[in-house]
Amino acid sequence: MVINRKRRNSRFTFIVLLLISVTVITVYYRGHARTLVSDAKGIANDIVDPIGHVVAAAAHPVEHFLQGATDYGSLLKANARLRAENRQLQAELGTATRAENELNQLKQQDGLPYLQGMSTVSADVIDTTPSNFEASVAIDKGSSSGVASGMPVVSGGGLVGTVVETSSSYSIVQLISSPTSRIAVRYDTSAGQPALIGVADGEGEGNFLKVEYVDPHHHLAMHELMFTSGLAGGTLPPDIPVGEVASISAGAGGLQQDVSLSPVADLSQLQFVRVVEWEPST
Amino acid sequence: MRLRAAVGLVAILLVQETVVPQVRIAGVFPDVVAGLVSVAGLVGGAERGAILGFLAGLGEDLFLQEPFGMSALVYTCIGFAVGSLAVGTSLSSSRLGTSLVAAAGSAMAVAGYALVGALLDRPEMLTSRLGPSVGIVALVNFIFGVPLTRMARWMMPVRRPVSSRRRALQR
Repeated sequence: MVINRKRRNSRFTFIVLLLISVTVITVYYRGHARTLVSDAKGIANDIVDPIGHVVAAAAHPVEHFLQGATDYGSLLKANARLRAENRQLQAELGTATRAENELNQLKQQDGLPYLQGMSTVSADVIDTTPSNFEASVAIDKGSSSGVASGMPVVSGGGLVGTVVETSSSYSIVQLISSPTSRIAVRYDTSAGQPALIGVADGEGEGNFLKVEYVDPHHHLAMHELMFTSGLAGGTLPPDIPVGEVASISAGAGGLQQDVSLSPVADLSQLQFVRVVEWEPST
Repeated sequence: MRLRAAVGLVAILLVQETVVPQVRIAGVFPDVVAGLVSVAGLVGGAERGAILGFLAGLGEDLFLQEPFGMSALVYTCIGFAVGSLAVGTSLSSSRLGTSLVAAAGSAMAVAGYALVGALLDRPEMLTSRLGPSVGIVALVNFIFGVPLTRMARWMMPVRRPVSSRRRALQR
């Protein structure tokens, strides 16, 4: 009898928790608690972010320390010294290469032609969001630097994504490769022609974007660039390069072409980005 | 006990949000929170498993871009299901058993999460990447099944009946 009562209590607790969860999801979907949730997320990330920094930074010195400790006990001192020197030189070379890469990336951020004088905020990519269903990164600039939700983010080559969450000192950027990302793109840039519009959908990290609604009669060339459409009321400014055509095939039924797009920005090696201080007109 | 559970929850969430992003296997992030919730159901029973799952899920939702409350819903179900199914089994007494539960529970959690996402108008969550995600998360939690079980036991010590406690004191 005690066991039965215990089971009944368990079921009751389970049902109550289920109902609370469903209510939370419903309230979130209806938009009533988005600000509250966003604030809570901001606080949680503000707390965790510095710890994440420390953990990431700690990984390298610990590795180096362990290597050093191993060499200390070696009987072949001369050999160990040479190895250490070699390692040091390799580390210096690695550091120099990394510095050179960083410099190149920073140079690429300067004077991006497609920004057309729009003001931007430079930011470091500090983390990736540990989700297996979204593709997003965290940057080290937030609302205190003027970053707001919905702002486009670019790197040297082109569009990286849009800001989806902000706190005072950091922001989350949803990458264009994220499965929930949808961008209106323009793909006919010939003068005097009306712009042709398609929609580029994210297909997950490391995959090409899939472009829908491409006119079946339009001759599209491989490696042709596609840009943000900048349609009135759109969520992104016009003319930011999104990607280049990687494959073209006839769509089912001949109503559209199946086109895949390789992002112009190297989304796998983001270090520095620029947040464009542009907000959609309402 | 509640303090221990709170400390344990904060600790596992910190690990998930700070250490796990540095460790990516074939493009998949491990999910140690799902592993802990699974073994919590095994160690603490259905009710405590569901409560821990709910709280851990709400905590994890704070760091994800998916709709808020989804992890809470899925982990509540996982904690409860593992606790209900494991009643009367000897799974919690063997290392292999706990590791298997951690792996199976977390696999169900990842698959369930994608399914709930698809039901909530996010069909892209049921992609071809789901299989590798389920497999890798399950494998990692199988490996960490024993420490996760120890952690769950520390967070939720077994409540012994008053009479047995008295007997233990008399001894």
